[in-house]
Amino acid sequence: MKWFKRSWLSITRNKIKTGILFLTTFIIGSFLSSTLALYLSNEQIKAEIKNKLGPVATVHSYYNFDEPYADTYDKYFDEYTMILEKLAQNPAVEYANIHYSLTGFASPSIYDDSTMSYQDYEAMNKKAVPLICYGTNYSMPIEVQEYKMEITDGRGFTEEEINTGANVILLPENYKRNDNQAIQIGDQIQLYYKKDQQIILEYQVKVIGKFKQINQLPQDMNLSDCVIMPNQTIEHISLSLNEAWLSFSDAISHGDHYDIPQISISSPIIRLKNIDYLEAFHERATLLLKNKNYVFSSASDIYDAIAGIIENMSFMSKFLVSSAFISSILILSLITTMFIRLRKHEIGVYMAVGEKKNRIIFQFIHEILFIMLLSFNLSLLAGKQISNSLSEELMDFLIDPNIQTITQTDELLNPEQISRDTILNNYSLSFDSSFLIVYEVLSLSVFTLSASFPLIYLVKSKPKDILSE
Amino acid sequence: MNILETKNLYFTYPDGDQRKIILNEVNVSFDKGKFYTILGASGSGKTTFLSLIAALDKPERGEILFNGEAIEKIGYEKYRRDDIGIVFQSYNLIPYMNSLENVMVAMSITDNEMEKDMKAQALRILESVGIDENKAKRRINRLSGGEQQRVAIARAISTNVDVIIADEPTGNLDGKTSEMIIDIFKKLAHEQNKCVIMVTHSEKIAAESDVVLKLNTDTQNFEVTS
Repeated sequence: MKWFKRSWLSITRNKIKTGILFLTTFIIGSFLSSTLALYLSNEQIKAEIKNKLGPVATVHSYYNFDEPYADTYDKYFDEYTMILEKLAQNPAVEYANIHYSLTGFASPSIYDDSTMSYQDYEAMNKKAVPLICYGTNYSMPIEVQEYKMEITDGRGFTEEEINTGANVILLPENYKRNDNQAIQIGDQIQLYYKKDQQIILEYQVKVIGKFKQINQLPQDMNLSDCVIMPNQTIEHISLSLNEAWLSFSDAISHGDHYDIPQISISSPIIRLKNIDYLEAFHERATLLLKNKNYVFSSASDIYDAIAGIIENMSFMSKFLVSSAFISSILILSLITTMFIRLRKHEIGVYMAVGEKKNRIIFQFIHEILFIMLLSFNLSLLAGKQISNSLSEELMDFLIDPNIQTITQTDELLNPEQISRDTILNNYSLSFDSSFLIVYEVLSLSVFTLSASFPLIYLVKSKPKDILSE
Repeated sequence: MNILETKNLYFTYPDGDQRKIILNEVNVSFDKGKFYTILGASGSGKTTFLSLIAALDKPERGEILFNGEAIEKIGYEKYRRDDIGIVFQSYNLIPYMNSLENVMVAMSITDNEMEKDMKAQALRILESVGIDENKAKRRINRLSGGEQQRVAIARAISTNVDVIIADEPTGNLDGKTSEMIIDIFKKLAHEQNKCVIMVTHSEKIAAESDVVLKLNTDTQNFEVTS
């Protein structure tokens, strides 16, 4: 009769001992699996929120422009662009999408075919269409790389065009010439700025590509009335406009040049290569933003604002799962020690008839492992029910109804507007394969640690001592 | 050649700060085909001696030779598995198994050659000690003390060993049952050429044996009477 068969006989015939070990393991397993499910689910939810928010950050400017406005605007512009460029150079940064923009321009030679018919446009005496000059610092705009827009004709910018500020643009694909003819790649378009019916500046740009917005942009930005050009080009246009305005205003004594549109910089999206870099990047950015006119904001801030309750639940479930693990080892060690000590004479008999110690150990390991693993696996069903109740109890305990829920967070960094309520409404415990793997590893660890002490006792004993006890 | 022999066997027990000598340079030998009994007062070291020759414990000094080879060299575990059978006073059977299974445990553990049909062989051995097939399939706790002891003897001889070592096997049995057990041992020695070594308190049982070894508590050594 081999050790395997002896072990099976022991399991099936020592019904009370088997039952006690099974029941104890079942109760412990239910608690262990429920707390583990709670812990892993919270960790998964935390990871999902962080993943949805992404490793993104921005620097908002809250510059207070002193009078005279003209003196402080240049200082602000230089300071803000310098900060953004320095941050963009950080090796942790994947990209920093910096946009300059300039409003107030129009084109007399084109119209948007998608917003009005040619007849309406003619009826309006082919009135010039207002356009926003929208800048980019990447040869292939990030919006294209992130599938927010696509280039439907022509090409993106070259590095040289970006660096030198060439007079080239990407135009929305719906635009046509004011004679209702299609605009060809390579065509020249005229942009102008008018003040009091006077054209202050005319600027020729070349169409190198056409684009179409295909997905929603942060803050519901709409590119349908934008011509995209290098940031440097916008800076050139702005300088030209300022110069033109100065000579024009001198002639008519019309006040300072800041009566006309200035370049604005929208808060950029800075995406890091990895979410783990956010904290270090935050520290470096804070050192750089010495004055109160700039505020660094990142996905971590949003996470802190909306996921506090999940963090608390995670902390509590971590404590619970650790307690369950330690108490499982202690209780099951006592039970298995008792289980083995009650059968010490049997062990002595095996030794007396010359059975090898390793086979005696195999027999006991097999018995305990079979009962424990069967029980641990069945306890998953009970654990599922317990963890549902446990999570509800914990939520009730942790949610303070007096604290108002934060519903609005930085829209630039949280375009989906994930809030605490959306997290809690979608909260669910998962019993997926990763949970099962961790649970099996944990239950095997509990078995190994709890069975090791009695088995060491077994290996160290002399047959005479066991039989005479 | 003696099947079993002790040479200068020495063993002590702790006794307060001192150590009490139990066996002092014991030299004794055992032959096949003989039934030996070991007599002695309580605490004289009979069971200790038996534990040593059964390799359940190790001597402090001296050696035990089986067929001229030190059992330490053979290996204590292997010696117990292949060379001797042990019968205990309290039977020491495995309670959740039946008689047949108890015997088959020892048969499956030994490296000695067994018959192909191990079950049939075990049933024959049980039959030879007075346990029929019906009782062989009963759980141990449904057998009387005498029957349990006969199962223990069957287990001890089932592995085709030459030496049977028994520690007061009749200690828990009534007179009639004791006689039956002693008869089995005598037959094993005289008919099956085994060497049977038995510890007993009883002078009457000792008188049934071929050789009586009396442990003298003063000399901590044996006095041999035939």
